[in-house]
Amino acid sequence: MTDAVVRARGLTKTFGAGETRVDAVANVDLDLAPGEIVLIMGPSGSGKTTLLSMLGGLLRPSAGTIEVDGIDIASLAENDLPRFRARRFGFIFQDFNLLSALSAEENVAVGLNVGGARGRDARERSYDLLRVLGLGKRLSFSPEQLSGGEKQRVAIARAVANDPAVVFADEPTANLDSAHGAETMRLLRQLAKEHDTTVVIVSHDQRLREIADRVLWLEDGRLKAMSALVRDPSCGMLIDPAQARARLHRDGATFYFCSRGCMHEYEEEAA
Amino acid sequence: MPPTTSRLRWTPSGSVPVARRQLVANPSKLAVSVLAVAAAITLVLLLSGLRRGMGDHVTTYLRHEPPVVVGQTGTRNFLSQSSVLTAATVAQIARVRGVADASPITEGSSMFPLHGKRVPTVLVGFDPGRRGGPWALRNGRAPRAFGEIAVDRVLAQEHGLRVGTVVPFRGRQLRIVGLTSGTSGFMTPLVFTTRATANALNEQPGTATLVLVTPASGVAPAAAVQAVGRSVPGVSARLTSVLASNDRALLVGAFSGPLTAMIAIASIVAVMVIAMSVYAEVRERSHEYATLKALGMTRRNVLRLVAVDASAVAILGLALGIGFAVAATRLVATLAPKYLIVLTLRDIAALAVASSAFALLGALAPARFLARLDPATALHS
Amino acid sequence: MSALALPHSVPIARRQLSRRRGTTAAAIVGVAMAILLMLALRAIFAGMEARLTAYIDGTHADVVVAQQGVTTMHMTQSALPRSALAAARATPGVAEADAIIYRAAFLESHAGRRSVVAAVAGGPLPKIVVGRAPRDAEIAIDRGAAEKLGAAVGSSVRIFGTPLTVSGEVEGTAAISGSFAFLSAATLERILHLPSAVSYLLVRGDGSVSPAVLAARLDARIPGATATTRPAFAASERRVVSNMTTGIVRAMTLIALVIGVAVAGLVAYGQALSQLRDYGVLRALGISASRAAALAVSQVAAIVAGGIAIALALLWLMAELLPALSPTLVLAIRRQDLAQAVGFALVVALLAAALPVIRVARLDPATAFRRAK
Repeated sequence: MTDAVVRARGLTKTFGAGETRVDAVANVDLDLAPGEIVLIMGPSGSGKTTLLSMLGGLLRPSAGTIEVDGIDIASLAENDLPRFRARRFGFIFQDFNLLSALSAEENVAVGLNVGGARGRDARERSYDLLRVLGLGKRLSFSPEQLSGGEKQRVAIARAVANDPAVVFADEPTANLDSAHGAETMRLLRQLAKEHDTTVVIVSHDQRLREIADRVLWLEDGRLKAMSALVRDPSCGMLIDPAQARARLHRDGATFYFCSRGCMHEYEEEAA
Repeated sequence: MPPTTSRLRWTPSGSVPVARRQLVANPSKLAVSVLAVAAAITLVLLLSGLRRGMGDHVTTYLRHEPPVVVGQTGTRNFLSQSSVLTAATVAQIARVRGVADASPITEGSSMFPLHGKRVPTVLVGFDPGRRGGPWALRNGRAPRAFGEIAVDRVLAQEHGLRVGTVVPFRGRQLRIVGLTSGTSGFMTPLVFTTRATANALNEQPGTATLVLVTPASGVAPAAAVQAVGRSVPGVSARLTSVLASNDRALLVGAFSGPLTAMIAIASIVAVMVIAMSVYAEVRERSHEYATLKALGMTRRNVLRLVAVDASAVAILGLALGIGFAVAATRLVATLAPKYLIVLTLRDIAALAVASSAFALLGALAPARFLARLDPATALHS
Repeated sequence: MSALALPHSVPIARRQLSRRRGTTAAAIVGVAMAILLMLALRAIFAGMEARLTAYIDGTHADVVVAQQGVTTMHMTQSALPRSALAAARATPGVAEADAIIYRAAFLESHAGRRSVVAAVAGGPLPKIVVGRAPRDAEIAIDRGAAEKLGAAVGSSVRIFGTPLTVSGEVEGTAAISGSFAFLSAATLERILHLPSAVSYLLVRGDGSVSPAVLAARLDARIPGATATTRPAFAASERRVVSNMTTGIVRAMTLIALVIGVAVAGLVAYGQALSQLRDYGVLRALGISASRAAALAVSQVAAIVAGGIAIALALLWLMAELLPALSPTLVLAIRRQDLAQAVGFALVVALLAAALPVIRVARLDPATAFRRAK
């Protein structure tokens, strides 16, 4: 069993006092394994973003510990947090949060600068990342000139630029159409599986359940595991049996697939 | 074509010039801030330049005269000073050993009525052929006979006076025989006449206000001062340069108060404009700054962005302000030459130092805002 | 109709301004500074002018007689033969006539400190607040000069190199240009080797004719002299200062205008931009383009109005505090300067509001539906 990348214990965040006191996050324990995709869902205002902020070292918990690299980041001073944010964590925001005064390549490069890369190194890595994501012809465009999907890809490039251990994504598909949403999902999955990066996603989007290894439900500040998900034998994606696109009954067992394509693949292999 | 950002102009350290990009992203706003700072800087430069110019003007006459001046006991100024020396005293001064030449002059402030206005001037009456008269003539000649005057040419131009014009003055008709150059000032332009004329106007025949002493060759001015002071009773002999600096101190001192008040106000304006411009920028982009913090930018580097922003406005404002001041100085020299504005490198250097203080002060409020900015706000829309 | 004029309607502009309290406050102070620049200099020069004529006004003379063509005292010379005094006294309608000798000079204290004075002998003295009028070898000086020199009644000061004892102090004649000092006629004449001439005549009428008529009579009767009513004489003195300083004041006003417009415009435009979405919503709700523009204008107007208020308050403060720092730095706040300041502020407001108004008027109501940045 590989060591958890992030280990949170007793995480609590309380807002307000007295009569208006509310626990946005109440006594949450959570371990994040390398290469794992964790999806946190829940009703609006349930504290999902608060939990994400704390795990990513952006928000100080009212109580609890968050262990990263053996250090409890919840008790660190603000001055000590930037290095975690720069090197160990990556962020993808709902509104993309690109700097409007910088070009696409500069937006990624700035993330690299913050991580310690400079000059040519930063520039080249920035080009590479954006080219891989299909933005090779958009390098010097400003965010205003980019579509939503393109902006998200720049944001993803920026988030992964410093090879973080964990990428936190806040509603990554909320402002995208279905095609780009699917694109984003594919990229996140690739990130987790090919680079061993942990991906923590907070979202309402049910589609994201298809790529998640674990789906957690946050309600009233408390975290619960979603009811059992099964794995597509062809591509390995986790799916909710109730919403599988293809099903196969064989040898007394039922197999669920993310798509007919995977089912046919399975059938051919079995043949 | 989409707007491109140059790949070549990154900072020397090799990182993305975020502050620079942000400054340039809103050029009209930057222009207005820079303009306001520039206006304040121009004001400060012009005021201090005017003060220096006034000092230069008031000492013009003395700078062209012999190194020693003798007046009635207690005389320490050329301007604002009454002094009466009798003919006998003048003769005594001339006889002192070490004195090569002693030229008497009768001078004093005089209001010339021109075009219904009272124009302040300094009227200098000298003996024709002796020291104390005009040193540069643009038109005509120096006064020789009773009732003749030579007038500063800038003054003459302003009031349409020419060689040959007759000016009624204190009961006499004075005729302009020459126009002088290098003698202007907005408070102390020079008018030359014969000493006899000046004495007649004052109803004090035979007297002199001051005696301009040229030491004999080999005699130092200080020695001449001593000699006259020892030998002649009832007079004060001084170095001309001392009188000049006293005059400068007197006039400049009088205006120091108002000038300092104006400079203080202008400085406050400069700081405020920088502060406002940077603060507005920072608040507008607070989401982006929160993002940078979330990406892991240290607080120090975030604050450095603010420092760059403030410095840029200050430096650009300084440069533009200096440019405006230089242009304004030239303009004034052409259009209103009676005002002399003297810009010195020292004043400009002092202002440059002050500008960095402005930038620092202006960056305080925005820096405080950014330091407290919660990176978690990057996640809120 | 302005959105603010409807009673019981939401004061939108006011709410928008108070949301950005820091920036609004800074803008108000910035505009106030610009107005202050323009007002303070005028007030200082006006103060100079006012103080300049304190002495002559205090003599309560009806007519001032000077050498031909002379209508001022400071920065000039005037010489009249003594016979002029007799001629004045003989003029019908004259109750009293005094001859005064007037010279620019320096007072020196033992400590070496100096102060510019107008040395006057003859004529009525201003009220002596300490001590008494000067006799032979004595001098009465202004309280401001006394402080500056560190002199007091009984101490010795030098004028024209001659030591004199301070017999008393007067008040109110100190200005930037110096103060007045009073000597006995005998003392001053001796110092100046002055045989026969005087500087000015101060004449009081018996009331039988107006001062203007009296002046005309004196003018006709005394050869080589000009007679002016005292108010006209004082006005002439003040005009000299204003003539000298007009150019500087105008230049200052121009620069202050640039500063004011830049500051107010900067903030107004910034605020309009940051509130574009709000304006879009208002438009979508049905407010017309001109009404939205009026809102933008009213915000600018509020800032400028605040600026005027603060400028006036600061000016008043300056007027109270500056004389404590430097006794001759007296501010005089004149109605015409205040009126000009208001006009100045209006121009600033109009120019500063131009860009925001254009931006807001052109706004597409659909921006209400775009996501906030």
